[in-house]
Amino acid sequence: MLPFALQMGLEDLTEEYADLTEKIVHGMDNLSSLREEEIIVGVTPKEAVYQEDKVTLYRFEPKVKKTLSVPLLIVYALVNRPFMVDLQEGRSLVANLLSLGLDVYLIDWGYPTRSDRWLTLDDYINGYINNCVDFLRDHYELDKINLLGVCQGGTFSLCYSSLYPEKVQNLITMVAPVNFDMPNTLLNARGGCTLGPEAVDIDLMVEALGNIPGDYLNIEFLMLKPLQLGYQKYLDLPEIMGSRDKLLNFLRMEKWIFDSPDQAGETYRQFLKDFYQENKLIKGEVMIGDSRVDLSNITMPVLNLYAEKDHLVPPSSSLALEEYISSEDYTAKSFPVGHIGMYVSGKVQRDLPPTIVDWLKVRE
Amino acid sequence: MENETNPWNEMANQWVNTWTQSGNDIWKNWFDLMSGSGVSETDKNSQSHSGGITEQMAKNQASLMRFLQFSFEAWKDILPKVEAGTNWEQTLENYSQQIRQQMEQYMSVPTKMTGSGSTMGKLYMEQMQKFNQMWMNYSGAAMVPMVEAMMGKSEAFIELNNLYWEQLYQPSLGNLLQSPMFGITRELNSTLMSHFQAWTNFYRASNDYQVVLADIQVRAFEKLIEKLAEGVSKGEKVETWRQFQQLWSVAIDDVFEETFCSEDKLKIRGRFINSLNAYRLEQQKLMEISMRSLNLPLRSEIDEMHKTIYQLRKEVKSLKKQISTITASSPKPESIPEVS
Repeated sequence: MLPFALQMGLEDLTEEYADLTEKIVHGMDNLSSLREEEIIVGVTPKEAVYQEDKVTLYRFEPKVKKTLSVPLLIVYALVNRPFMVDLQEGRSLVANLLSLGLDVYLIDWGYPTRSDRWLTLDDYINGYINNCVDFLRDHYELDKINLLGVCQGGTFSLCYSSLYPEKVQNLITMVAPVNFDMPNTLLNARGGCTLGPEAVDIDLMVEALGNIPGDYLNIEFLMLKPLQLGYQKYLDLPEIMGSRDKLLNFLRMEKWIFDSPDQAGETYRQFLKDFYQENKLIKGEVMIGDSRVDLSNITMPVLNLYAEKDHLVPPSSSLALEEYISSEDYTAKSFPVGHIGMYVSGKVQRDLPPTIVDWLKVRE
Repeated sequence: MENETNPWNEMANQWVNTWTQSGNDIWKNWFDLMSGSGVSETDKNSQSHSGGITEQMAKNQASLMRFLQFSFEAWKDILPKVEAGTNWEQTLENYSQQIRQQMEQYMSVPTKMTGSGSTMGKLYMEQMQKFNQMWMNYSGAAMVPMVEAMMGKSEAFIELNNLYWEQLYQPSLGNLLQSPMFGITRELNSTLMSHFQAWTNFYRASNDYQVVLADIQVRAFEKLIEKLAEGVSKGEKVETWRQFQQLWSVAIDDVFEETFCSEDKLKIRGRFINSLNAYRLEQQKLMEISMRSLNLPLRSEIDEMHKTIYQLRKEVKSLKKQISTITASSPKPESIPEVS
C-alpha cells in the first residue's frame, strides 16, 4: 500500500472516478437536450405600467386578494438584473410576497448603452425612482408608498427616503451597504475604502472605458473567490447534472450571474468615489443633484434585513444604519445565509416573505 | 516494500494524470457547450470568438490542473513524514522552492529585458560617462534584492523591477522619449511617445502584479499542505479526490483574499489596473488619429454628442415637469357661454 493511499485508497479513487464518469455521461445527455430558451429568469407574470428611457416599472399580477392597501416598490441594484427576486418557481421572493397579499412593483433598470454614459445618481434617484414613486402615489391616490431596496438598491432607497421622507411610509432594506469602510472585506478594500485612487482610480477608469462593462464587474466578483467561483463550482457540476431540474437551476443562476448590464459611467464614478472610497453616506456628505443626503431625515419605520454570512455586504456594514437614522421604529433581522442565499435559500424563502408582510401589516 | 511501492506509484501517477486530464476535458467541453448555446449557426464570427475564449479557458484550466497535480504529488511525499512525526517541514520547503524556481523562470522576462538593457547600456557607456555611473548605481542597488530574490523572497523581484525602471530605464531611454519633440510630426510623435510611456508603465506594473500572483501560489501550496497535516494530526482523513480539490480551492482563495486585503499588495494591484486604463486611453488617442485621417466619426465626438443629447433630454424632462405643475395648480378657464 502506498503511503498516500493511507488516506485515499487507490481502489476508492478508481471507484470515485468511474462514478464521476457515469455522472458526466448521463449529465451530458441532459445538458445537450436543453436549449437557451428554457433558461428563463423572472417567472411571475407581470405587466409594464410605466416606462421612462430604458427604465421600466413592472407590476406583478396579484395571486390572492390584497391584504395591504399600500403597494410595495422593489428597488434593485444596478449590478446584475433585478429578476433575482423572481428567479424561478419555488424560489421567488416576489411570488411569495404576492401569495401573502402584497401588491408588488419592481423597477427594471434595463441595459444602459453608451448613450447613457452621462446618467448620474441624480438621474437614478431624483429622476427614475422618484418618478416611479410618483406614478404609484398618483395611481393609488396615496401620499406614501412602501419601499424595499435590495443591495445597492437599498443604498439608493436610503438616499431616496432621506430626500423624500414624505413619500415613504415604510422602508425595508435588504443586504444594503451603509458603512463602506470595511477594510477586511475584499470588495470594499479593492474598491478603495482604505487607499482611494491608489486601489483603483475611478476617474481614469471611467475616462478610459466610458460605461463600465458588465464583464469587468463579473470578473471583479469572481476574483473575490477565484478558485471556488471560477473552477470548483464546475467540478462539482457532475453531481447535479443527472437531474434536469437541478441542472436548470444551476443554469438559471449562471445566467443571472453573467447577464450583467454595463454601468453608466458617471453613476459608477459617483457611487465608487462617494460611497466606497470616501464613505460619504454615513458622514452626511453625499450630494444627489443639489440635495444633500442626511440619513437623520429617515424617520419612517425601518426594517433592516441582512445576511449573516454575506461576503459582499458584511453584516456590520448594514447594521451601521441604526446609528445614523432618526426612526424610532427600527427593526433588524438576520438570516443565516450568504448574500445570494437571501434570494435562493429555501429556508429564507420560507421565513423572509412573512417577516416582511407581518412587519408591514402592523404598520399599515 | 520498495518493490511493491514502485508499481503502485506508477499506477497512482497514471491515475492522477487521467483524472486531471479528465478535469481539463470536462471544463473545456463545458465551455464549448456554453459558448455554443444561444449562438445561431450562421454566426460564424461569434463562434470563432467563443472558440478563442474556450481555448484560453482551457489553457488556464490546464495550468491550474498542473498546479493541482503538483500539490497532490507533494502531499504524497509529505504525508508519511507527517504520520511518522519526522521533519516534513523541510520537504514542504523543498517543494515550495520548486515553485519559486518556476516563478524565477517566469520572472526571466524582465531579467532578459535587463539583459538587453545591459547591452544597450554598454553602448551608452562608451560614449557617455554618466551612463557608466548610472549602471554602477544600479548594480550596487540591485545586489541585495538580487540575493534576496535568489533566496525566494517575492518582494525582491518587485524591488529589482522597480530598480530597473527607475535607475536604468527612466534616466536613459525614458527621459529621452519624454523630451519635447520638434518638426512637422511633433504632435504625432509626442502622442506615440506618450503611448509608449503608458505601455512601459503598464508593463512594469504588470510584472509586479504577476509576482504577487505567483507568490500567492507558493503560499497557497504551503497552506494546503499545512491544512492537510493539521487534519492528519486530528485524525481527519481526506478520503476522496474531490475533498482534496475542495481543500486546495479554499486554500488558494483564502490566501488570495488575505493577500489583497493588505495595503501593499492592494497598491500593486491598483497600479496594474490604473496603468492598464491609462494605456487604454493612450491607445484610444492613437486610434482617433488614424480614424480622423480616414474621415471616420471619432469616439470622443460621439461621446460629446451623447452628452449634449443627455443634457437636452434632462432639460426637456424638467420643463415638462414644470409645465405639468403649473397646469395642475392653475384654475381651469370657465367655459364661454354660447352666443345665441
